[in-house]
Amino acid sequence: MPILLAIALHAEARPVIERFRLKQDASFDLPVFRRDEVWLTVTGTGRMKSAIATTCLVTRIERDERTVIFNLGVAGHTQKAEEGPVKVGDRFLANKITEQSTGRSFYPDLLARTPLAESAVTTVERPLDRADAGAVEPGLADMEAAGFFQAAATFLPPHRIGCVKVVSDHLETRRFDKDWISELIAGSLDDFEAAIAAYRTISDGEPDALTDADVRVVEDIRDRLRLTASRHRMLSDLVRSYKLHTGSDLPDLTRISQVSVKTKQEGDAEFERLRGILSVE
Amino acid sequence: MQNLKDYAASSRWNNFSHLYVERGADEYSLTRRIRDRFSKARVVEIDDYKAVFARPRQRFQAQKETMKLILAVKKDRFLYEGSGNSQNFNLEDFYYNTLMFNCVYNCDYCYLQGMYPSANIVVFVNLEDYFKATRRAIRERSNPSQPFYLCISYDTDLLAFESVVPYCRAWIEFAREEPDLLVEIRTKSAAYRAIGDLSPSERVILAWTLSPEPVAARFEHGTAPLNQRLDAARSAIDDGWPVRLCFDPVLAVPSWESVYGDLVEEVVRRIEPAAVRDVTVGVFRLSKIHYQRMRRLRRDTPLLYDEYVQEGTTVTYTAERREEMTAFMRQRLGDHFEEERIVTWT
Repeated sequence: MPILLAIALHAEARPVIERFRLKQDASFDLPVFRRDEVWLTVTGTGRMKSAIATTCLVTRIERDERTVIFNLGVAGHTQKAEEGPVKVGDRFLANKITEQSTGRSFYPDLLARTPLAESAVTTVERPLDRADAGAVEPGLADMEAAGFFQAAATFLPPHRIGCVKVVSDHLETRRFDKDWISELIAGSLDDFEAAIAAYRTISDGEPDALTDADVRVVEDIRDRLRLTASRHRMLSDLVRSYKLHTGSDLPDLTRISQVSVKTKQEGDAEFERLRGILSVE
Repeated sequence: MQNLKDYAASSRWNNFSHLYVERGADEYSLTRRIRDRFSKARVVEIDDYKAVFARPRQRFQAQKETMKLILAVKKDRFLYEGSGNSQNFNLEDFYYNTLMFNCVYNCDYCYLQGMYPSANIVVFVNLEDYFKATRRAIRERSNPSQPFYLCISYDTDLLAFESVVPYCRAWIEFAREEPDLLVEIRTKSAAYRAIGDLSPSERVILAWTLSPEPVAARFEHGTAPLNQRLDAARSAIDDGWPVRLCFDPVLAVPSWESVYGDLVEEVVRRIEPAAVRDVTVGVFRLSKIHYQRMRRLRRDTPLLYDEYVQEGTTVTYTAERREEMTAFMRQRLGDHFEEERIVTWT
């Protein structure tokens, strides 16, 4: 169940690396840190770099159906300081990500209930000034989310992709101290972890009636009977049908799983025998 | 990674935790009504419903447990010709519309799983555009000696959702103004009371899909139990509505003869057959494309792993089994309903 993290800056990544006690993995061309099931890449700033690093990470890791991926970072908020409820340090889960340069919007699928408030995020090309706040949808402005999301959504279902932003400013132009950025992110990590945990509880639906053990039995029979891909699929469906209709485990197929055939005819004969055993009519 | 494991498993969002509202939909009264109804929902403004509904790689069954509402404006295609997988009751101008995409229920055999990329519910709020298109189609129908037959709850269950979106009420009132219109509203709900205050109309057939209780409990998730559907149908009859009873799909479950035989007996015990407009019978059938998609998505229900054959573009039981099941139902229903009131799909 890999957890993949794409974070733009080292200052943002540092508290996460410390929290999860990640170690750098030098086998990657990009900065990647890992421990057990957690993988973190430092993408660099901007949507293009974020998309490239996200793609690199997602395609290198052996994913399963519970793999989740998150982008975490700081962002400006369009609300003026002291003129509304949003404060520096508040964190949000993106429910809409708009790429300002193309006008396209993307929507993570929000199935898991997390402790985070939600917000629209607009990904801009360069840091947004207060004077330009009206040019984007009210909410957050960052520089990576749209690139990250588009790359991640190429490989993963939209309910396994999360984008968490911590408010760093209200679009006032200023330079940020790296330690202060790290502090902001560190303060969000309890909520961030809770969000990851919530995402990981979501299954894709009812599980396949075929268990891993059944799959191994089917693959063993496929190899012994030299089944074609189509016959292999049919056998999987026969086994599934048997289990779903009878509510029982597979019958003992030891005799067939020990047979080795030499010709296609022998394989066909054994397959028909198998079909008889698994018939539920 | 110890920390992650310390968190208790978080729950999913409830249904309709989020409303996605298309930019143009906000001006419609239905939108305002739905927003008021779900005043605690998180609202996300969207440009086009397809950007949410048609996202790649969505998981239909995962979404079914936490459906979102998408409020949108339908731009075109306000009517579709009736499908060959449905009975047309010998009415030449047989159409259906899609006021909503998807359904609050989750039947294992439902083709919507194979048809739509998402389980989220799209509600089209521009009802007046549907009415306009329907008025024109009634005027231009091919056989003016017959009514224009329109199924409005064909790809969904409108009555089940009536308390949220009062479509049925609106269409019943619309039908009163259109003498050449015949509307069918089909449901697996017991929500008749949502329209129970309306006076009945000969131009609106209220149709209940009836399944044996064990079948409903196992395969028709979220639907009303059989006895409640029968109570609702009886109330509608008592109030003077034309009521249709639909035995569809008939499924070849173990001991299906006894299960469906009992169903017919239960129905006629609770509802006076002479008071029913007509009954329909149809065995399990799906379009090949939907069936194939459903098999890829659902590996947990025996219904999709039965012995089926492909006939043309339809996947169904073998002809022999189909005939056996249909004949059985015709015979059992024939004990109580005249032949001409039993309409079958074979």
